Amino acid sequence: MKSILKNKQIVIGGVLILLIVLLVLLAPLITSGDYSSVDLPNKHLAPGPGHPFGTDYYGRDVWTRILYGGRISLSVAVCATLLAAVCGTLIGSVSAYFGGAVDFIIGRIMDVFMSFPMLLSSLIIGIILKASVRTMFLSIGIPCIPMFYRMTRSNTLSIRERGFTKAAVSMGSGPMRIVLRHILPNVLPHILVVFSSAMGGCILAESSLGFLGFGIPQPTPSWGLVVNEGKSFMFQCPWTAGFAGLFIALTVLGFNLLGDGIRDYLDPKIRNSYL
Amino acid sequence: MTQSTNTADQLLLKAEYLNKKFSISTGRGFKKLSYYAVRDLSLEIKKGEIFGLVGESGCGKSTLGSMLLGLQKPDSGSILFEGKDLTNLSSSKLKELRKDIQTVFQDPYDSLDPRFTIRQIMEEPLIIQGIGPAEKRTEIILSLLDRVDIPSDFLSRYPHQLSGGQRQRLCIARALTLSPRFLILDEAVSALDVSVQAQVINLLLDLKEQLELTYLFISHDLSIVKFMSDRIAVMYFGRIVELADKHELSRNIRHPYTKALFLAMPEPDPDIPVEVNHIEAGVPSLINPPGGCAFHPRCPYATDRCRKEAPELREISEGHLVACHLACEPIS
Repeated sequence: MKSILKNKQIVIGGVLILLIVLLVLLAPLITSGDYSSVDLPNKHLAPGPGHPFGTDYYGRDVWTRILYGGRISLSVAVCATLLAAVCGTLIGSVSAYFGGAVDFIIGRIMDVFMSFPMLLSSLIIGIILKASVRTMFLSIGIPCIPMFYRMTRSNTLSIRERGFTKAAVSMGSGPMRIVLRHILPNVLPHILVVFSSAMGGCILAESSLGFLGFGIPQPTPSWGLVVNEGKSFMFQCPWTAGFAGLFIALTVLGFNLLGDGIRDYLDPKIRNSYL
Repeated sequence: MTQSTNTADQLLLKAEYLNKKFSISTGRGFKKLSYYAVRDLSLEIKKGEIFGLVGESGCGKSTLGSMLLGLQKPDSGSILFEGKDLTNLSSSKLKELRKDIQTVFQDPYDSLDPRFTIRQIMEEPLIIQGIGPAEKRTEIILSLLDRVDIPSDFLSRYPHQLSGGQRQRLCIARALTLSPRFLILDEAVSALDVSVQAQVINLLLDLKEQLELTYLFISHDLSIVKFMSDRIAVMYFGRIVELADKHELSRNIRHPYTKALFLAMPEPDPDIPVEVNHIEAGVPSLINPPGGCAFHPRCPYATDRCRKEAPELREISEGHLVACHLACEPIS
C-alpha cells in the first residue's frame, strides 16, 4: 500500500478522479440544484458571485449544469467502458483459448463491427433501442468491444505459447489456473491502457450522440450537451463550453494517469525501480 | 557414468510407433498441407541413464520431448512410463504422473512468469499438486535453492533480477520441487554462455547422482550430448537413424548422417587433420519428403535401393541400432 503511494501517476490521477467524483456526488449540497429552469434576463452572465461558471443562453447556471451533467457523463463512460472491457476480454480470451472454428466465427463478427465507424454503430444501436440512460451504455459500450477483444486475443495467444504456461501445464495445472494466474495478470496491463483511453473516447462519444439528438433526453444535462450548447456562443461567452470542456479534459487526464500508473505498478520491473 | 548391471535393464520409459502430424495453412483458401514431425518412432529409456537425443533443427526432437512430457498428444503410438500409458490416462491420473516427469526448457527468460517472485515460482508446482502445509513447502523450496546454489534471500526477488545462469538453475530447481524421477532437458543449456553452460552441466550431473534421476537430454550440440549421455540417439526427419552406447557410437559409426554430425564437431586439437564433410547442406522439404530413405538426397553413398525403399531401424550389434541399407560395415 505504501509503495502504491510512491507512484506519482496513480496519486495525481486518483486525486483528480476522486475530486471530480466528489464534486459530482455532492452537487445537491454545493449548487442550487436547479439545472433546468430558464431565466432569460440573466442569460450569458460572466462568471461571478452566485454563478461561479456564469450562465448559458437560457440563463441557466453552468456550474450546476456541469456538476449534474457529470452524473450522466461519468456513469455512461464508466459503465460503457466496463461493459466493453468485460465483454471484450471474455470474448477475446475464449476466442484465443478455443481457436479453430470458434475463433474464426468470433473474429469475423468483430471484423464487421470494426468495419463501421464507431459512431455509426452507436447510432444504429441507439435507433433500435429506446432512448434512455441504459441505451446509452449499450450504444457506446458495444462498439468499443472490438478494441478489447483484439488486444486480449492477440496477447492471450502469445502468452499461451510462452514457456511458463507450458511449464505450468507440465506441473499438472488446469486451464482455469493458467488463465487466472498466468494469462490474465500478463494481459491486464494491456487492458488497463486500452481502458483508460477508451474512457476518454466514451465521454466524447456521449457528447457526439447528444449533439446528434441521440443522447440523454433534454433537459437533463451532460457534459457533451453543455459543450454543444455553448459552442454557438464560443466567442461571446466562452465559459459555458470552456468549463464543461475542462471537466471532460481533466477526467480523461485523470483516468489516463491512473491507468498508466496502475500498469507500471503491476510490472515488477518498473515497480522495483523506484522503491 | 556407467550403469550398475542390476538397474541396466529396468525400463523407465518406452515409446512405441509414435507419430505426430502437423498441418499448416497454405494461405490459399482452406487447403492445408500436413507433414510428419515425428514418424514411427520407438525408443526405450532405462532407469538411471542419460539418454542423449541429437539432430538438426526441425528434425522433431522437441516435438518428441513435448509428447513424452504429455504436452502434446501423439496421433498414434503409445508412451509407457513404468507401464502406464501416458497417452490415454484420465486427467487425474495424468496429473499424478506429472510429478514424475518434469522438464527444463531452453529459454530461461521465457519459462519464468515475469510477474511471479522466486518464491511463487518455486511454490507453484507444490500448490498445484496439493503438497503442503506452507512450512513444508518453504522447507522444500529452501533446500532446493540451496542445491542449485541460489541464496535464500532471493525468495522475494523477480526473475528479471537474476542472471541467465541463475534463471536456468532456478528452472532446474523448480523442475525438482515435485521430486520427479525423469527430467526432460530440451536444449537446457543451449541458451547459456559457454562458462555458464559448464556450470549448469556439472550441476545437472551432480543432481542426477544425488537424486537418482533419469535424463532425456535433447540438444543440437553433439559435443555436449557426447559428454553428458550414456546412450545417444541421432534423429533425422522425424525418425531415429542411429542409436548406440556413446563409446560404441564414437568408435563405430554406421549411419552417414551420424558420421556427418561427428565430422561437424569442432576439434580443439589443431594437429588433427580436418576431414572433409561430404554432406550437402540443404534439408529436404518436410511437406514433400523424399521417397525411400529420407537422407538419400544428401547421402554420398546413396544407391537405387535407398531412393525406393525406406530402411528399417535394425540392430546390427548388441544395443547398436541403425536405419541404413548400407550399414553392414562401418563407414570409413
